[in-house]
Amino acid sequence: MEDKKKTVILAEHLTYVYEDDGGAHNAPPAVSDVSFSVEEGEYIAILGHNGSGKSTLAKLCNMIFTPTEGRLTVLGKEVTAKDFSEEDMFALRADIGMVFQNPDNQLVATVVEEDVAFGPENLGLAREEIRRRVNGALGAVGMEEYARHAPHKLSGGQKQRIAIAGILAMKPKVILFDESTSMLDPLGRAEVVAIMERLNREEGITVIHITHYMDEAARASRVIVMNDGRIAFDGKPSEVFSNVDKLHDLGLEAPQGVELLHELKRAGLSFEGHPLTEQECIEALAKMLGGGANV
Amino acid sequence: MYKLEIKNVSYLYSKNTPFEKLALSDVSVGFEAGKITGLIGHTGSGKSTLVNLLNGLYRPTEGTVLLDGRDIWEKPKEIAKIRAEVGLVMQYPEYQLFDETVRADIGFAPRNLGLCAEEIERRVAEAIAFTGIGEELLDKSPFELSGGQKRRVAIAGVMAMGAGVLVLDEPAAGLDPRGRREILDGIRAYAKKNGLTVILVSHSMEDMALYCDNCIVMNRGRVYMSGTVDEVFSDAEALMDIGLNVPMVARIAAALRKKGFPLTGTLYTVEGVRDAILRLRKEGGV
Amino acid sequence: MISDITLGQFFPGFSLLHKLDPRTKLLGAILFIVAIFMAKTPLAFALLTLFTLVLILVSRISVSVILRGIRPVIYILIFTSLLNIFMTKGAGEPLVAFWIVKIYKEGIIRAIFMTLRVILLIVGSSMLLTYTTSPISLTDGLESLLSPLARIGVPVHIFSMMMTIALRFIPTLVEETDKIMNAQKSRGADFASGSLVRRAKALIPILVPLFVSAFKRAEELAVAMECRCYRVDKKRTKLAKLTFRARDFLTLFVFALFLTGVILVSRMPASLLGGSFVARLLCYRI
Repeated sequence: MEDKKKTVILAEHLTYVYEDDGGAHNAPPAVSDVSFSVEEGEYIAILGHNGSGKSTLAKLCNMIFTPTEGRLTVLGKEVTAKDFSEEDMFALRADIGMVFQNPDNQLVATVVEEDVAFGPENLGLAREEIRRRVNGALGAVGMEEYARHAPHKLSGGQKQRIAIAGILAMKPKVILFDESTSMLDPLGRAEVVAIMERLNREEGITVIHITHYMDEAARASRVIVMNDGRIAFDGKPSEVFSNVDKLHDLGLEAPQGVELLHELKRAGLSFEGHPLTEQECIEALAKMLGGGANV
Repeated sequence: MYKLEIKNVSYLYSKNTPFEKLALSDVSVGFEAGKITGLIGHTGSGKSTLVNLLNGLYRPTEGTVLLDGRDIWEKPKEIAKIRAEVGLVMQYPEYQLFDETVRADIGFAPRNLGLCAEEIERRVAEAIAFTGIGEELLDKSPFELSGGQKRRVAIAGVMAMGAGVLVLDEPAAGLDPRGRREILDGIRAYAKKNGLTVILVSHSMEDMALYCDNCIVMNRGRVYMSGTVDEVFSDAEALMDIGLNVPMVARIAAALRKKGFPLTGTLYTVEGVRDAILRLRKEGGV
Repeated sequence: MISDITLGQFFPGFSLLHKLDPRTKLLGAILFIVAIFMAKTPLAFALLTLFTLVLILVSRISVSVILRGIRPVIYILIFTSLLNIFMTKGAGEPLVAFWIVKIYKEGIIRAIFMTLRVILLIVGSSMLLTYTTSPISLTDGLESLLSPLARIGVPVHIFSMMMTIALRFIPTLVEETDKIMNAQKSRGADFASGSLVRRAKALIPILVPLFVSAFKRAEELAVAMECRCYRVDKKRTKLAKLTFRARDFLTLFVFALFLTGVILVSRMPASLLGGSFVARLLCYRI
């Protein structure tokens, strides 16, 4: 058991139905009978069009919502168990952080380092420990020099990095990014994605990234595609993105390189394997064109 | 002929305060009538300032903004009239929704213009057609709509002004791929049908390549490049020099050319590169 | 623009005033305000003015910034001065008697010192508090000074968290108001003309979106705070530590000395200064 990777999230037949105004559950389920598991150290992207249930799924994992049906186990604790108390929930939340979409609406304090300290302060840590964690977290997102700045004067990407630092300061094992790049410009997006990747690779933090951007999803180690509250695909990016026609049906796209190869395949050309990255696509095309020229 | 033109415009923020900042310096650029012109640049490149100058929300510190050849600041008191001729859709425009019903909200601008009832109704009906929203939702509160619907209603609220020029700042921001396509397709169809001059601000080079006729690239408060989309995108290196991303297929095509495969044609859309590769195979392979 | 107002703004710096503990500055401000209301003679006012000038020198904030801080209240000052001049009845003959208007010496004196008082109040307290103290340390200082009240059940912590969040979101909401106003202006809204009722009605398209967005922000913020383990009823620790240093004790001592000085000077009979005309003028009781 020791060398085996631990399961950090185990979802079994999860269903979630939003309550309407009267408190009844008449709406169609936002998440319906979903089962999956996340292993420690994974880097997962969740895709899906608006309303596919991907955000709801994240909010279930972070205990913002309680499943209507099904069993959910987070870091070895069953959160759907009857004896799971509020104390247990807050204890777990320090381990599973969440970065939201709008960077403005998750920063609490008027000074960057005070904001990063917010989580550790809530945990009741000693002052010296808070100071250590704040400095460490700001360093991890490359924002040390902004420690005494006012958050509202920073760019979107910088604000989002502060939000990530605020989560890191709680030393989580898992971080959920709920469309955290969708309001950023390309530079901000690149900064945030680079941090995500580094945290996953170097700190061993499990990353779950919900996004609309296919190029971001292609960088994950695993992609889950949601549709109508259910999992439509779950696998390696190269496998998932090879289903180009099906993705189009779900209102999604594949990265442009994959789309290009797909178009060429439809025109009668063939390629080996599932090229995914820009480099892989270039090589596949060069091989095909080179081969063609040699004939 | 330019519908809208900017001549030697400079713009200073917070003039005469310690926070003074030059956002645009000596910018001259034109927007062709009936065309969709893309405006590209990093945050802080001056493109947002430019957008606010186009409909008179900002007044140039120096230089002139010409609409149909006339200085829009000729009579500063009548600047509101200019705003009715240059419609501006801001980023995340759904925050401008306020009225009790979808229909009333779309009618806000025409009512402000003091038009007669029939004309208001005609314009609202036309704008509603753009939203693709069903009759049953029109008398509901705009706050009950989905995110994508709100976006379209907000854009319709500007379209209903009947302006000849439409400026849109990131109209597809935050939407999923299908939402992006739907909204941009809708805007293009509406513009072509009504002969509008459109200025489209976007970070997405893929969208620019697909939807624009012309392209203006801003960098550090100046015009860095301008021309047809073909002209601008054919110089991918110049774009990458200022840190702009070119579409992935454009990078793939450039890499293939570097490897000695003489691809030609429209090398910045999936279809364009596909055709170029197929052509090359036909010519070279057989 | 709204953001041009300097009154109530924090100017970061490294002067002695910036370095003082916020509690020192809060207590100092109280002593200073008491001194302003204890000052009764021109000599006492001279002392107050001198002290304020020293504060400005120590803070190293530029005089133009301070003058701009006074600008928003200038009309109120003129209005109250006029009231004082025309409404005050003096003991002796009026200086000017014209139709029903009678101006007495006392009225003019009162107007002058009233104006001086308000200006000193604004400059002094903004010197000590807002200009040199960041909002967050001001809140921390208040929380710390009020903390004894927590023992009798006053929710001091909740109050200070509310203050912090308000301070955090004021700039965001100001920016948002600007954006919404521009969006509605672009739809032909007119905020500046028409009757009072019309103008009030014209605010609806601004206020509704502003409230909708503020509630949405509040909701999202609450969720984000809970996700970071915030609980109202739980004891929290703090990163920032307020420490009284020697300079704080020294400053408070100087302020106390100053207050005593102002009180003493205000009660000093002119005979102590020799009873000359100048002495009598300096000790004239307003």
